[in-house]
Amino acid sequence: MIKVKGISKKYGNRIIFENISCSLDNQRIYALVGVNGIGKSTLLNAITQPASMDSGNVEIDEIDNREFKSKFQFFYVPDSKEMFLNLTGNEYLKCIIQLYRQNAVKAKETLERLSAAFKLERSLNEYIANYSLGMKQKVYLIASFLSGAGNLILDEPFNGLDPESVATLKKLLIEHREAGNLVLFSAHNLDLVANFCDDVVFIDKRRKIFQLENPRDFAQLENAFFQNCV
Amino acid sequence: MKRTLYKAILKSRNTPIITLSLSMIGIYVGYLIWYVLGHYLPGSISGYRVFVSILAIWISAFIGIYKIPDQLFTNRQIKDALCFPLSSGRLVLLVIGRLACLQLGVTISAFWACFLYVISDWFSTVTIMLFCWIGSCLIDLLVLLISMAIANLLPASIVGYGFILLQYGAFLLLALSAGNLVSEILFRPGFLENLNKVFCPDKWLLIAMLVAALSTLCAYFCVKAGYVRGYLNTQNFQYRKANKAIAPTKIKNPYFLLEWKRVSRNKELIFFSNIKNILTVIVLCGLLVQNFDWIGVSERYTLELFLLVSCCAVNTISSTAYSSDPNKAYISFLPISTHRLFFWKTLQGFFWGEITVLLFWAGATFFYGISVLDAFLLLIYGTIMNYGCVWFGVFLDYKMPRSPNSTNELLHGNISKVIVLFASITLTVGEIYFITQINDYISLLPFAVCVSGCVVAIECVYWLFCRRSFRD
Repeated sequence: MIKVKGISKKYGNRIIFENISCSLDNQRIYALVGVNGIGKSTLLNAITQPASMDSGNVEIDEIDNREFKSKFQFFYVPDSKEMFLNLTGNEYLKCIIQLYRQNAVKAKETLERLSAAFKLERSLNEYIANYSLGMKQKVYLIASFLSGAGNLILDEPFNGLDPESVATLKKLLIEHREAGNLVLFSAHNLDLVANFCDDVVFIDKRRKIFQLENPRDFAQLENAFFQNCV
Repeated sequence: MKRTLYKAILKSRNTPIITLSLSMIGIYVGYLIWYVLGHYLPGSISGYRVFVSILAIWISAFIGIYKIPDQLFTNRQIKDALCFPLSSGRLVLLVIGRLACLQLGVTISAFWACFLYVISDWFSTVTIMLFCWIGSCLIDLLVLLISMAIANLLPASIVGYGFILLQYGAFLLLALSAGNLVSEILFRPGFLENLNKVFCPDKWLLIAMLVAALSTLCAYFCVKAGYVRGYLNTQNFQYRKANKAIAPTKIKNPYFLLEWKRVSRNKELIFFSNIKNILTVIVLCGLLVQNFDWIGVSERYTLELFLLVSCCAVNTISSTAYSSDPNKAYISFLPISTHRLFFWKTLQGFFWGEITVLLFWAGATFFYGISVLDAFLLLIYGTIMNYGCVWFGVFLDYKMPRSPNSTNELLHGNISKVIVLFASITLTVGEIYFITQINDYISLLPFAVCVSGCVVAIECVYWLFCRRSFRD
């Protein structure tokens, strides 16, 4: 569960957000939608990194995100795919297991299952720097599931994935939701959003947030997007 | 267009302020050189023009050797530019042209003040300046040709080592020859006069121009024939995939793993910084002994203390602990305690710094025939000071505003290194001064060990109890 209360963010004189709030519940998959440069990544950064916002507060599973222990409640995959390039896939994933204090035996089983699902077993002993964009995306997504965090915050997670991996990821995210957890992901593809998520979080042209239950209809969703966001 | 291309390919962010600052420094250094030559050295000042031209060529050659392989062969951005309708000749000309402009600036900076002292023979000075500049360009072309040969002839698996050998081999060779030449000119009577007799500006300029024209022609055809192939070969060295699987790590602690991989994967940092450190320690130690003899370098172990403190203070791995960490941006949203991370960063810097300390300690113990007890005390002093300096270096790098994308080396850990150097040398000079001038009862070595121990204890107490300074 994530509660955003009155956060504001400015870059110099340019206001990105002013006093915005929203509440995201467990057992839901949320898609964050907005035009380019409207502040999707800024919002995700505000949730995951308290230092990046100017005012307001964010609670993750009822823990203020300024507290260190809140970091165990979420896993964030940023849009930049340049993380931990100096580690091999295996080293990175094991590092995540240890940092998130997961049971080693159980996590090993999960790692085997996930790497097989994403067809990444053979590449895990190579440096992440040598991975393609899709492979990097997969390894960071595997890390998110291995972390055991209840709230997954994913910035454009479907980018760079092949259709098979998109299907695998969808399946895994649904499993995660069924286990009583929350998924928040940003996306540009309204088709994917219409067919997959439970709720859509729009950032409109006034940089305010409004939520909509997914109508499961592309035309309706597109209409809402063009009316409010463009 | 040229400027945009240069920006895109070389990620150059030269602002007018930086250019202006560099020009001011150049003008000042040029003036200083001629002031020293005019006021403190014997003989006619016009006789030193050849000496200054050799110095200017040396600086230009150093810039060329450093920049040409880096900007034309190991530069990743060029790969993106190769997709554009851009000829290889134009790319190379862009880099070499900029370099030639920079070297012209070096030459002008080195000689402008000469006109303040040598008013009558200005034609000869201009000829020497021209020779100096064309000589620098000639060296650039030579470096370009050698780099082309390395890039094309060596297989992808070793081509990178070829460039490292070229850069450092040439740098050491230049340093050695320049050092020898300067000492010969300054201390061997008659050497400068002979050099001036041999050097006839007009003839040498003509020869340089002819050789430069031939080299340009040769470089033009070589670049056309094999630059792109050589560049791609070099890129394959940097990004080749390992044929065999990398052995799984045995490191269990995630903090240690992150830090170990940060340093050990950055072979450039280890290789370059260690060579640089060893050279710096030797030069710095000589300077310290020369400049602080007023406090009594005759005191036993002064030289050894200076040697060890220099080793500890020039630790690049500690002073760039945060600024060179590419993963720093991602640490904020992972459950990583910055307090613990700081500790592991200091340990990492300590480990790498201790190698240099042990090397110089072993050398000092072996060459100066130090007793076992004193050798042990020296080792303790070196080790404690090493941790003390590393802690301070990491702390400064953590506290200073830093940008991981900065291409400016001055903002990349060097400021913290200079501060550590200043603080540690001040401490050592203070210790020596206290023992030689104020107190005659305690010997230097045990006193220095105690003081450095106290410094490290203060640092550890600060780390333990001031957790807010390392906020999570």
